[in-house]
Amino acid sequence: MRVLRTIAGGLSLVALLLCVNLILVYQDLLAKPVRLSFAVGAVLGVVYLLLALITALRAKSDHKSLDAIRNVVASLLFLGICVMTYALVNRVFDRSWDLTREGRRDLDDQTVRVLENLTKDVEAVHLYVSTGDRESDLTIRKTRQFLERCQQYSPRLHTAYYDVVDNPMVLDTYEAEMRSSSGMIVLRCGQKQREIPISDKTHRLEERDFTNALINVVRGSQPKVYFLTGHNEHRVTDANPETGCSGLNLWLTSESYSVAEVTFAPGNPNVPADCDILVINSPEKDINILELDAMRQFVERGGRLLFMLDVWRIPEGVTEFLRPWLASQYGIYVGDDIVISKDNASKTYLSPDFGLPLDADSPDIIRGSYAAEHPITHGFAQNVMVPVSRTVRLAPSLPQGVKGEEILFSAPDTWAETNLALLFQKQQVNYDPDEEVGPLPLAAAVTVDTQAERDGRIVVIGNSRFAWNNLIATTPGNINLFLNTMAWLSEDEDLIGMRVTAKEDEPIFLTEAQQRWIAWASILGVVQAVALIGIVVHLLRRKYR
Amino acid sequence: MRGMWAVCKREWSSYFVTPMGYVILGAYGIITGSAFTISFLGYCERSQNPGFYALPGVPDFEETFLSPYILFCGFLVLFIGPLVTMRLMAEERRRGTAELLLTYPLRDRDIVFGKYLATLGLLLTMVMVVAVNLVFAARFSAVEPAVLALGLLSVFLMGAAFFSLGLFISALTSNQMTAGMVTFGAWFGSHILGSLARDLPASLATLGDLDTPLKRLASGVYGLFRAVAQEIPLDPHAEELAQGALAPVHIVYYIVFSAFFLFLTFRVLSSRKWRA
Repeated sequence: MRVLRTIAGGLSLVALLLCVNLILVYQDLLAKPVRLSFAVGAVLGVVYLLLALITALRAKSDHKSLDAIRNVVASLLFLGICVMTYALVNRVFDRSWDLTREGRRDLDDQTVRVLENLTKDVEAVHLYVSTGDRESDLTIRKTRQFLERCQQYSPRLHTAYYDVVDNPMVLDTYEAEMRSSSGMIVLRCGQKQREIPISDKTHRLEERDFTNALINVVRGSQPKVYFLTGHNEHRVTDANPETGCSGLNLWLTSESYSVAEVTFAPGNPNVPADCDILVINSPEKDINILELDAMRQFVERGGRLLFMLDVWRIPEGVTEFLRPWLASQYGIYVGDDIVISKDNASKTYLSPDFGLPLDADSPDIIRGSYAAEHPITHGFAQNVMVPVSRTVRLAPSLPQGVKGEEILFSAPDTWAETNLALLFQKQQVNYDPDEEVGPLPLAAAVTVDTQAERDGRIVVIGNSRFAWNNLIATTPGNINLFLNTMAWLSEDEDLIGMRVTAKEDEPIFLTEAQQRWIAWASILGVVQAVALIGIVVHLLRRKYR
Repeated sequence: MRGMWAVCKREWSSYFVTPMGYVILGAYGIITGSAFTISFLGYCERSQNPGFYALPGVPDFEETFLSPYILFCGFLVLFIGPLVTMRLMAEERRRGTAELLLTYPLRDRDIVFGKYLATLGLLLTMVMVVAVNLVFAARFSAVEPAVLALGLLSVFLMGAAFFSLGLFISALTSNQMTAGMVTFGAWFGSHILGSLARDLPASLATLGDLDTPLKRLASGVYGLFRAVAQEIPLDPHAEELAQGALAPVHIVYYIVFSAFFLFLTFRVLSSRKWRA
């Protein structure tokens, strides 16, 4: 019996081992040889167990055998209990609570506003592929939680959830294509539909993408934004990651603006008839009288202007047009100065346009205050970086038909350096007692009464760098300021709010000393601390032995 | 209880009166510290110039640095774990002190729990080493408390589960090297199996030519195998916790895993008594 048992056990093992090898050879779990070897191994295994049990039961006086059987049975029972416990918890408590800031936080300002102001029914359909792995389940769960949160703000948002494997026809129903393995949301309102793929990288639906798509499907029209060219302006087609403005184009398009460039015809400048907002983005040449008159006529028929004006030097002897025009027509005074923060006064920093080096390690960061009541900055609570800015202030008494407000201010420890000649020649700045100190106005917004259906609006900001690609990528406040300005100019106050990604992380700047300290502390510091403790313990033991 | 604490104290002091504990902590500290330095400074660089790295904006601190770093530290515990557990029971048998231990007025649970608690103490020290590094990170960036707390908890639970497995395997043999290699092999094998199982199709395509009852049986067995193979590896259960999501199922998994292997260790010890 024992010999038979041993042979059965041995052959069973050999057969099962052969089965595993055959699986690899045939690459098919159900190939005939695999099935055969598995069947033989399983049958012989059962035979072995039966013979072992019979042998054990026969040798009742052999306590070792009985104890061995008891141990095996007890272990299997305990394993069963463990498996049942785990399976029960998996079934009953198969959910997780996202305790992070992202999981606990409310929806953004802007998202809530858009949802609360929905006047049409919107369908939000979550299409996903459930693969059974934890990452995919997590993505599905987070997306569902997000949509359920959105539903709390608007009864007009209707949600549905489909696994495309179980419901393959749903892709045809919504004429959608799965572009991401992490799933997608289809937003539909009337005839308009937008698809938001869930990022394969982050496995998360970005709230910003959802809100932008929602705006797009509910918005009746697309405001047309023209960026003026022909005066060496910063182009929205410039994709330079540091100094380009292509980011503005992407953001505006995502918020359903239509973006284009326009160059005035020489001698007969006209703002296009379909233009809603004309943006003049840091021209390096002055704008001539004819062009300014075209802009004036544009404003008088309800048009909107946005000027972003960097510090510049008009050559000696040349008559300036733009700044005097803004002052005389609308009471907006753009300073011939640079706002300097006292912390950085000893360091030089100027626009590379003037051929002087920019001290990249010491950006001039003006973090100021905002006009609490103006729609553009009402409730604005983020830092804005506006390096190398000039003042923009309103006349104490504005021309008739013009109303306005200064909306952005520098910090108190700043002043407006007016001695630009010294700055350019010797790269020095010195505070003079007659120079104005902060807080200094850096931007102003005015409305102009017109005969048209709507008023004209103008915003002037004494800086264009805040809208460069590198700053809008790293400073959410910058892009929010720009887009809020555009929203006010296009009268889409729904769009004014804080646009943030799911996480609002700030860049981490470390000095060399800090980097060295981190490297030392985390590598050598810990090891030396451990070694020190060891030495102390050893010495103490020797002392008290 | 007194017996358990006596065994625990003895085991704990054996880590720190010999160079072993310091070497393990030192090696763990160097590796986690180097990983921390490289990944944190790399994150800082990417956050300052996201456009240069083709990123849409400042990368998420928790997702790109904190969670992966904590998971790496947990993973490292699984590599170092065999060094900690291989000597627990095997050395007693090799030196011949196992029989002596069994004759003391100590219950099996005192011995098992005492040794296990000592390893948990060492594990806690390793987790504190990781926490020290994260304190440095918190000085420069807002660290998500949920990710930090649940991430470190996941490292501890994962290590505790793995140490219970190592304790069981150490109890089976008198050779430390065998115990260490088998422990490592068991974990690594389950990890590979889990990865392969995730790549397996949800159902078998070749069932078409089988009879229906056989098809159902084969399908059921395959499904069960796939599900079990995906659940067994220790490290995937830490992922959700390391992302700051409190998932009871993962915590229960680690507790159940530890309980099972501690139970098996009891069985091995008791079998030694009646085999002696």
